[in-house]
Amino acid sequence: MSGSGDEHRKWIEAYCNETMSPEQFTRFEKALEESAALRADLRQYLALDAHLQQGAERVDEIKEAWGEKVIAINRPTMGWVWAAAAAVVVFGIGLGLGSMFDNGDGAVLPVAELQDDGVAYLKQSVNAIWEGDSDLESGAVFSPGTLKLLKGLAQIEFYSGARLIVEGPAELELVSASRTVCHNGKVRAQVPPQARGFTVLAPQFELVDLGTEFGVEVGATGGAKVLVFDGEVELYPPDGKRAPGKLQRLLGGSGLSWAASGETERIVPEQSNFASFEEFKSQTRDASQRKFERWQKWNQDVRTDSRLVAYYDFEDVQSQVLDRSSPNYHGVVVGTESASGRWPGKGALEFKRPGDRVRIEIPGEFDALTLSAWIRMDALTGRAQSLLLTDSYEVGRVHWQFSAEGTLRLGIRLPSRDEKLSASGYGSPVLLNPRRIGTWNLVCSTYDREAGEVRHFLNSREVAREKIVYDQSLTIGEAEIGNWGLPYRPQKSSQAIRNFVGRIDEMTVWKSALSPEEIRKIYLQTRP
Amino acid sequence: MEEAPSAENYEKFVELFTSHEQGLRTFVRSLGLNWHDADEIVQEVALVALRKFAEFEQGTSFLKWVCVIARFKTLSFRRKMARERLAFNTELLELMADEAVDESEIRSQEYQALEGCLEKLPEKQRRWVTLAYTQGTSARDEAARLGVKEGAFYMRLNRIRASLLDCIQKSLKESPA
Repeated sequence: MSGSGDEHRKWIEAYCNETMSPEQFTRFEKALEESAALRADLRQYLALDAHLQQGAERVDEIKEAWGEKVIAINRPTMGWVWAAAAAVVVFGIGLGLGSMFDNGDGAVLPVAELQDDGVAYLKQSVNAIWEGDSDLESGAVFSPGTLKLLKGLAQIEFYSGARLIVEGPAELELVSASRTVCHNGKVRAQVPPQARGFTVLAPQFELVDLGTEFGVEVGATGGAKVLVFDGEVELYPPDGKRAPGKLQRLLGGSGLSWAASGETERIVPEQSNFASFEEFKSQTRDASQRKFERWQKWNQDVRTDSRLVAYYDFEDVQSQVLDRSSPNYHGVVVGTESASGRWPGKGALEFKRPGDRVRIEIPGEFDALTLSAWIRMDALTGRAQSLLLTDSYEVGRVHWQFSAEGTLRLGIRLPSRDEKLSASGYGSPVLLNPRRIGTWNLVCSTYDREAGEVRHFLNSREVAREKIVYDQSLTIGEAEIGNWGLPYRPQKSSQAIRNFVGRIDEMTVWKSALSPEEIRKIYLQTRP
Repeated sequence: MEEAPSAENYEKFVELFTSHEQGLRTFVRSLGLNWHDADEIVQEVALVALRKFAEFEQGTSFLKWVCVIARFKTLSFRRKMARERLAFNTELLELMADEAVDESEIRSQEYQALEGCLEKLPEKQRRWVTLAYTQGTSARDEAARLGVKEGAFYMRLNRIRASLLDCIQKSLKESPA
C-alpha cells in the first residue's frame, strides 16, 4: 500500500474539491486500487459532501419559496404561484434536512436585498422617439432622471399612482414617485386620490395636486399654462417654500397662464389642446394593431424560409403548439395556459407552475443554429429558467436558458470529461434584472461552426460574442420549451426546477446563424 | 417487460423515487462523479427505472434497486467519456460501485447523524458550510468574490468536513442503529 494516512486524507480532500494535480491523481488512483479501506473512506467523504450539498440546496429552495430570492414580481397574480411553490417545498422537506441549516437565528445567510430606484413605468407610447434610447419598450422602468421625448406620445405611470401623458417634444425630470419637474412640453396628469400630493414643478410654479386631472404646458420661451379639468390643485411660487400666504387654488374648469414676463392671467381650460387618456388609449390601440398586422405579414413570409427548422408562433394553441415550418413536429402542451401575447389577440402560453412545458421534437444535426424567442419573463427566481432544453444532455445537445444569475446561456454538451469543457456554455452578461420583468423581449442566440463563434442578442443588440471552444455539431431531438426534466418527475430537487416563469409567444429555430442585420430586421418587424 | 406503468404504479413510482432520490444522488457522487454528472445520471436512472418499474420486486429495497441501475449507467457514462482529469479508470469505478451498492444503509445513518452534528457546530462554522454549499455552481468563484484565497477557502471547508465526519463516526458508534 502506498501513502500514509495523512496523505490519504489530503488526497481525498483534494479529490473532493477537484484541486488535485494529475500526478497526485495517478498516485491516488493506484492507492485506491490497492486499498479497500481508502475506497471506503473516499465514498464516505464524498457522501458527506453530497449530503451537505443536498441539504444546502433545500435551504436554497426554502429561501426561494419564501421570497428572499424572488427579486421582483410583476403582477399581483404571481403571488399565489410563489405561495404554491412554498407549499410544495414545505411539504417536501417537512421531515427532511431542510431545517437543519437554519436554526432560526440567521444561520441561513440572507441574500442581499435588492434595491430598485425606479419611480415610474413607461406604460405605453405612440410613435415615441426618445433622446438616447430609441428602443424604449412598454413596461420600461424609469429611475430618477431626465427624460426627453422628442416626438410622439407617451404614458408614464408613477409608482405613486399618478399617470401622465407626455406629448413630445417635452423634457421632464422624474424626481421621485410623486414628484416631477416639467422643463418644457405638454403634460396631462391624472392623479387618483391615492396619489394626492403629486407635485409638478415648473420654472414658473410648483403645483401640488389634490386628486384630479389637469394639464400643464411649459413653453420654451418662458410662458406656461396650468389647466384644471377636474378636482383641485394648489399652486405655489417655484421656490420650494410653499408659503401659505402665496398659495393659489385652482378648481376644476379654471386655469392660469404665465406670460414670459411673469404676469399671470386666469384662463378657461381648453381640453382639446391636450391628448386625453381616452384618445391616447385609442391611439395606442391603433398603433398596436398596426404592429400586430406587421407581425402577421412577417409570420406568413418567414414560413417559406428554407432555413427554418421549427417555427412556433403560439397562435391557435390548443393541446398543440403548431410548428409552422412543417406539419410533422408540432409541440405538445403540458399544463401551460393560453394567454395574450405581445398584442391583444396574439396567442401566447403562460408558464407558471413547475410542471408547465411544451414538449417538442426537432430531428437533425446542425452545423449552425439560430434560436430566437419573444418572451415576457415574470419573475427572477434565482435559479435557471429554461427556454429550450433537450431532454438528455448527450454530446452535441443544446441547452438554451437563462442562468440563475440572469445571463442568457447556450450550453452544449461536449465529449469531454474536463469540467470546463464538458459543461461548456456560452453566456451573455447579466441581462435580466427587475426592470425586464413583465416586458416583452426578443432573445436570440446563434451558433456557427464555420465562423467558430456563438453570439447572443437581446432585442437585436449583440450582447455577447464568444469563440467556440470545441468544434461540435448540434442536435436537439426530444426537447422542451419552458422547462427541463422528465415529464413524470416530481419537480422537487432544485436541479429539476428550471421552469420558465412568464410568457412565450414565439420561438424560431433556424439551421443557419443569422447575421446581426437579419436579426435587427426581424426585431423591427416583430417588436410590440 | 417495458410498458407504460399504470396510473397507480406511476404514483407509487414517483413516491418511491422522490423519497430515495437523494440517496441515489449520494451514491453516484460517492463513486467520484462530480455534481453535474451525478445529476445527469440520476435523471437517466429515473427514466430507466420507470420503464422497468414492473421488474422491481415489492418489499425489497428500492434504493438498492435504483443504485444497481445507477451502477450500470455510471459505467456506460464513463466508457463514453474520453480519459480525462480526475475520472477513475473503468475497473476502479466498477469496484467502487460494487462496494457502494451495499452501503446505502450506512449512508442513510450518516445522513441522520449529520443533522445532530451540524447543530453542534459553532455558529460561525455552520454559516461557512451554508455559504460554501448554497452557492451551488462554484465554491471557488464564491470564495474569489468574497476575496478569500482559494487555498484558505478549501482549508477551512476541509477542516469543517473533518470535524463533521469525526462527529458522525462518534455518534454512530454511540448509538448503533
